[in-house]
Amino acid sequence: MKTDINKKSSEGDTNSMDTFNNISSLVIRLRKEDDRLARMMKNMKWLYIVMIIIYAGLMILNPDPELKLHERISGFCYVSAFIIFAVLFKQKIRDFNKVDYSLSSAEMLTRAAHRYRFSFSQFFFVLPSILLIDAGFSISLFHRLTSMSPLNRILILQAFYLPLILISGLIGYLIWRRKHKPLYENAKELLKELKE
Amino acid sequence: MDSKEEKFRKIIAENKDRLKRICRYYAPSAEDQKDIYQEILINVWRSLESFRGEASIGTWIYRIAVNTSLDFAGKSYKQMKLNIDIETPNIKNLLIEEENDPAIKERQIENLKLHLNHLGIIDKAIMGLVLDDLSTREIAEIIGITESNIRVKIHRIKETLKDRMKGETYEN
Repeated sequence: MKTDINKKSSEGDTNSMDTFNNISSLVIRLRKEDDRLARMMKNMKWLYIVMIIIYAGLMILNPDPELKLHERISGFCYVSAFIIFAVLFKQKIRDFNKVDYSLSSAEMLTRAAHRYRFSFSQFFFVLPSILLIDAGFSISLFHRLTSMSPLNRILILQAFYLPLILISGLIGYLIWRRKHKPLYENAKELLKELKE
Repeated sequence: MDSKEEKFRKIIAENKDRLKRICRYYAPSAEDQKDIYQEILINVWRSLESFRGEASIGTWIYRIAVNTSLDFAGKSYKQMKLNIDIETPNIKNLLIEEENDPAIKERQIENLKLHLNHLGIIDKAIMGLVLDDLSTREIAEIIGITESNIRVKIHRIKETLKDRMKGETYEN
């Protein structure tokens, strides 16, 4: 009764879908979109490279004798955080652009659920960058707040930095809840239906 | 024309009828069919690099088409409706009572369509493949669960449809 998938004959009328026949304009649009994405990725890569070179040049390698050691260390922290962010960002963009529709539905849904999940493990990947920026920020300002005791200086800097991080985290969570949570839940719901 | 474009055009030309049929199942209006067709073409283009001939081109195309229709980020998700009519191949496998009167048969099909569209999204996708006369092995490869699971699901769906349609009269 069953026939081979490749040998199925065409059915139904073809007139209703005449508009589908001309795929040239679509190919042009797809090609343009590919080029645009490739260009964007390339531009981002160069932007990161240039920024890293400029920051490293100005804040670490700068031969200016007035540039103190703590400022160089602070610069090193910023540049390191920037490199980690660049790598993570590149990976994230690549993951989002590499949605493979030719996988089985179960596999595609599993990957989608994984991609859109909210997980604290993701936070641990960003943590080194957060700590490096904190270190860079604290080192550079520690020497300017000379009127206070060292402990107070550290506490004040952390009191300023930590709420910033918490607010950023909260904004990230709200964005996830609004944009990605419904996608995550839909993928999970379909996977559940698939396994029933 | 580069090799990607050439490959794309070849695949689309060879599978045009199959794609049109799938679009007809999943989209009720000509406009929606055009939209879903475009979405499938875009996803075929994006997935071209992943095609290495491990699956048959037919299975590969069906996977993309079914996954596109399941795409929960797209506007079609949850509104996905199986669109069947008298011309649908293998419709007789699902009709509970075989009818010769075209008017009654048409009402039966309308009723079947209504019940089919009360099924879950995955079940609708599976029934779309059943109506396209794919074997359970092929459906299992596309959906990604075992053949026996697919058989159980199809049996369960048919039983549900039979139960829901039982006792409904189609007098002329």
